[in-house]
Parts: sequence; C-alpha cells; structure tokens
Amino acid sequence: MTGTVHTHAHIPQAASGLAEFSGSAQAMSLVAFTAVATITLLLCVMTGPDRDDLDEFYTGYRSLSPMRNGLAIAGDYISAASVLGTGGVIALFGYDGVVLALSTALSLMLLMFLLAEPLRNTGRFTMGDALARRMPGRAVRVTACATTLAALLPLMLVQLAGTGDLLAFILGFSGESLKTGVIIGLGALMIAYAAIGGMKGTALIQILKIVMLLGSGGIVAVLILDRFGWDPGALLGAAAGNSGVGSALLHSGLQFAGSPHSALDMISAQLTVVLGGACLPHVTMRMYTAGSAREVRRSLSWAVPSVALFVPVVTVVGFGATALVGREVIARADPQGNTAYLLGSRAAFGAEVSTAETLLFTTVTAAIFLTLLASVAGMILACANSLAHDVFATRARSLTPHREMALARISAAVVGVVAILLATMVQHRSLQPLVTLSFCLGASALAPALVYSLFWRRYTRAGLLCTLIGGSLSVLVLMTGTNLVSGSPIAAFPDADFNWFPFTTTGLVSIPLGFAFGWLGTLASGRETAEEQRGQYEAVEGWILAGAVRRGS
Amino acid sequence: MSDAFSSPAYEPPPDRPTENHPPRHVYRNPHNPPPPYTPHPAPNSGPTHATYPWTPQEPEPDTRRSPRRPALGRHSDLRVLRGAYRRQRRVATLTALGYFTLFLVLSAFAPSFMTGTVSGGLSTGLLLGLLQVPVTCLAIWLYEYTARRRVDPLADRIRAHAELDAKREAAR
Repeated sequence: MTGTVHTHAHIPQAASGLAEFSGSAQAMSLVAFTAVATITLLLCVMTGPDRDDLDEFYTGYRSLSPMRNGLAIAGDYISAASVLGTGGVIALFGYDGVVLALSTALSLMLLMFLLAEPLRNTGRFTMGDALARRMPGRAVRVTACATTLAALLPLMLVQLAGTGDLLAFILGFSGESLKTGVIIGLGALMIAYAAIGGMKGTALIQILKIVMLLGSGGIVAVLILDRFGWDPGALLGAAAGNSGVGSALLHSGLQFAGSPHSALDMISAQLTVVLGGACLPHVTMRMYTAGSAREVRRSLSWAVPSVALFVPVVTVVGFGATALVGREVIARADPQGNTAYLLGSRAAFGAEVSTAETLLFTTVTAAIFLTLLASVAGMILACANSLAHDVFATRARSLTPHREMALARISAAVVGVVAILLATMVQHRSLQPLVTLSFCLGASALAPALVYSLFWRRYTRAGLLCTLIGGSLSVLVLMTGTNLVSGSPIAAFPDADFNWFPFTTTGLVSIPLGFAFGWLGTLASGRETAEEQRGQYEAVEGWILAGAVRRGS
Repeated sequence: MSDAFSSPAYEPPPDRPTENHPPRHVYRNPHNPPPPYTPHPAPNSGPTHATYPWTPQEPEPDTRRSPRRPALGRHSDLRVLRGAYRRQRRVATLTALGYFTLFLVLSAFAPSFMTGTVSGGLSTGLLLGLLQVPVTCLAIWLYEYTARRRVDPLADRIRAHAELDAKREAAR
C-alpha cells in the first residue's frame, strides 16, 4: 500500500482527473480541514459540560430536540467506515454494495422498532446500565464493558488507520512517517472531542457532520445524475460498461464470488450487518440522551430517513465512480475501494473545474474528514463512559460525581491512546477483518443480550453472562478461520492459508450460538432462579415499557 | 443554533411527562380524553384495587414474594400496554426483516428473476432494493402513527399511576 498516490499517476485515464487533486483543491482541502478542526474543537469547549454533573456529561441533560437528537444518532451511526467502505463496495461490486447500504439502513430501523424505546427506559448512561437494570451486579457490568470495548476497538482502529491513508490521498503526500504522524495528531484531536465535549459536545459535531455529509453527497449525486441525463439506466449501463466485468456488476454475487458457498455467505454477511450494526454501543448510547421513550421514537423518525437518504446518495456516487473513473483505477487506488467515494465526487465535476466546483469538492473532503473525526470521537466516548461508569464507579462506592467525570475523561484518553498505538501497528494490513469483527460481535453478543434482557422474563444472570462471553468467544474463535484472516488476497495475512471456516463473516454460526448460549445459560441456572428473575422482570416491567418509575436510583 | 445547546435549567426528574402538570392527586389527562379501548374506568384512589376487575390470567404472582408497592390497577393497564407494544413490535420487526430476507434470498437463489430488466436498464433486483428507501420512510411514519394512537396514552397512564404511587410513598 506504500505510495498509493504515485501508482495512479501512471494511469492515463485518471491522470487528468487527479491532476487537479494536487492543485488548488489540495490547498483548499488543507485549509478546510484546519478550519473544521478548529471550529469543532471550539464548539466542543463551548457546549461541553461545565459543572460536575454526570447527567450532563453522559447524556447532555436530554435537552436536545428530537430533530437534533435524531441527526446526532444518524451522525453517530454513519461512520467513516460505512461511508467509504460502502462507497467502495458499490463501486467495485455494484449490486452487493447496494444491498450492504440497504442493510445498514434497515439495521437502524430495526433498532427503532424493536429496542430503542425499552432501551431508553431501562438504560441510564451505558450498555452496562441497561443490562444490569434487571440483574444488578458487578460481573454483569464488567462483562458489558469488556464486550463494549471488544466491539468498538476494532472499528476505531479501522478508522484511525484509514485516516492516514485517506489524508495522504487527499492532500497528496506519501511518506509513511507522515501518515503515522497524521494518525497520532488526529487521534489526539478525537480524544479531545470526547473528553471535553461529552455527549452534548459530540452531538453537535455529529449533527454538523451528518448535515455536511448528506448535503455535499446529495449535490454530488445530483451532478452525477445530471451528467447522465437523469437516467439511472444510463448511469448503471455506463458503470457496467466501464467496470470490466460487464453486467455482472448489476447482479448479485460479485463480492463473494471467491467463496465456496457464495449465496449463503452473502446472506450471512448482510444479516450480520442488519443485526449488529445498530446494536453497537456508540449507537445505543445515543438512545439514553432522549428525554423519554416518545422522544427516542421521534428522534429515530428523523434518524432513519436520514440514513435511508444516504443509501441513494452513496449508490449514485459509487456507481458514478465506476462509470466515470473505471473499476480498474478504483481498485488500484485502494484494493478495498475506500477512495471510491472521493474519486466519484471528484469525477462528477468533470475536467474543467471552476472555483465554485473546487469549493464544493472541498466541502466533500471536509465532510469526510469531519466524519472520521466525529465517528471515532463517538466511539471513544462510548468506551470511556462504559469504563468509568461500569467498571470504576461500581468498585468504589463513595465515588463523587466529580471523580467519576474525571475518570471518564481519563478513560477517554487511555482508550484513545491505546487505539492510536494499535492503529499505527495495523495500518499496513487489510482492515476489512476488523470491520467484520465489530459487526459480528454486535450481532452475536450484544444483540442477543439486549433482546433477551429486554423481552425475556426468565432470563437470568448466568444466561446473560453466557450470551455475552459465549457469543464473543465464538466470534473470536470462528474469525480466525474465515476468508478475511487468511487464504485470500484481501485477508489480514494474505500469505498464510489456515482457512477452516469458509465464510467471510462468522454470523451464520455465531449469531445462533449467541442466542443458544443465552438460552442454555438460563436453563442451566435452574427453574428457581428463572422464576425469581421473572418476578424481578415483572417488578421493572413498568419501567421497561412505560418508563414509569423515576430512574437513577 | 447555539441557544438550544446552552445548558438548560436543571430538571432532575427526566421522566416526568411535561404535559401532565394538572393536580397530581386526581389523575386526569387533559390531552387524552378517556381512551375508547379502556376496559374499565381508571381508578382514582388506592383502596379500590382489591375489588378491581382484572382477569386472573396470572393468578397472584406477588403473594409468594416480598410485598411490592400497591398495584393501583396498574397490572391490567400494564397487560394492555404489553399487548399493544408486543403487537406493534412484532408486526413492524417481522415485516421489515421478512421483506429484506426475502429480498436477500431472491438475490442469491433466483438470479434470473432479479436480473430481469424492468425499464430503462434498471434490473428487478436493484428496483426492489432501492424501493426499500421510500418504503422505509413510509414504515417509519406508520409506526409513529400507530404508536401515538395506541401506545402512548397507555404509557402515560401507567406513568401517572407510578408517580402517584411514588408521591404517596414519599408522603408516608
């Protein structure tokens, strides 16, 4: 992956398009990035919690209007990995990428339908709160925190490690040490957002980000459609013609063509995204910031359409990238196609670029930059809150709010530094396995735990622990055997081949296992305990369904 | 924009339904006149709960364990709410998930159907997929609409009862 920028200078087709990338657009992008970083940091300092109040730090007092909260949820949900990754999969594999984008949108809709309202009523600040509501105990909280960290760290690594490459691509540098420097510098900025801003400060950044991302993406999509005379068929035809694989781009199966059971692999991968995407803790944590269950619903009524709107945008930009730049060039710029979204946006403006168009393109790059910053900051915050609130605050009974908030900030710094260190180590490897790992953990450990503990009355503590630990372990064990770890060119270890689980994701086996572990754990803990739990559930049912009793005790 | 983000006045109980300010001791919700599906009039005071007519589907689950707070007729309300929620959740979730799974299965196992051209070079599969975007928005609207009509009034009532309970306990 060294010197990606130099490689495509040799490609004649891209040369004209990318020449401007290094001209005024680069200078403007640099200015825009600096401005974005400064303004957002300033906003964070201004809106951050100024008193020693845990509620304010963890939830921003639940004072956001449903629309703003909804946009913040959408902002937290659409991470840089989903924008760039989905754009890339659409550009390279066409149809399968569109299905991935649809899965992403559906996941948030399922969260709204199934979990959001009871989750808001049950939880207070973190995943641990939500799970420990019925089954108080330190073991539950510590396990919830460990699962939170395990599910979010890989996703943070992906985005941090991708930051170096992406900025190198946009700004046109290629030094390895410079890339590492970018990762460290931006990582520090992300930590600052989380530690200073808390939930409210990051909410503001997420809102800004989603508006910029959807706005600039929408304009680019309109420009691309305009170039094809507003005929989607013409766009798709051009994309297929320029892809080198013909109409296969418009049919299912290209992405998993190398897998022995491609159809099953595709279904399992998409359902893993559907079940896991919205159960990740940095998304569920935004549920607690709404004032009531009703407001959560209204917030999500804004969030889901925003994410749904993102589907046509990324579809048009992705296919536009293939149609205008060519699949070959995209694959050479980045084997995963992570730069396709930017290449497509750039190509939408054509060869002649006016100042206004350069400005517009700068908005696109700035939106991507902000997306990177904001999504990692949100994840750092979710991890830090969980560490401070679930692990440390439950150990010392006499922890004052002031101490707990300081702890949350220190945790943000620690989590961030660990993520930065790991990111600098994995930046030269394929990052795809890490994304998949996150989603699999979300779908196999967190989703069963949440569904069971919110809706199954006889669910016991042993069952909960079994779900979380068993689900996570089965993902981790199965993951080592998948195509993404070894045995394929996009694997983390492309030279080795110890592939023993011939699928891309572990979802096909690990999701049923996660649910089965919870069921078996509950059965194993005996009828007595289960009945006791049932009674306890009935005692808090008013809480869960209606938010009845004042919480916070 | 900044005014909405500045710190608001401190509001300790975040759950208090803001629209329910009228006198606490008598439950009356001005925004929701007695809902038509109520199986019984809402009780006003505690002591009536002994004779309260709720069908004994789960015969006295409380008696064996330590006494919990007085019921105040919440049990039957809760059951109605549980049913309303459950129906809504099941229908919404299964419809969404079912449609998508069907779409995935068709994509994987019925390529000849999904690659058929509809119009202007758009294949059936892509059309079915992208159709999901407007359908999503419609589903959200429908969910919000039914929740507002069927679930919210019930949840409000239960919350008001619980608050009444809490108040009574505090006064004791």
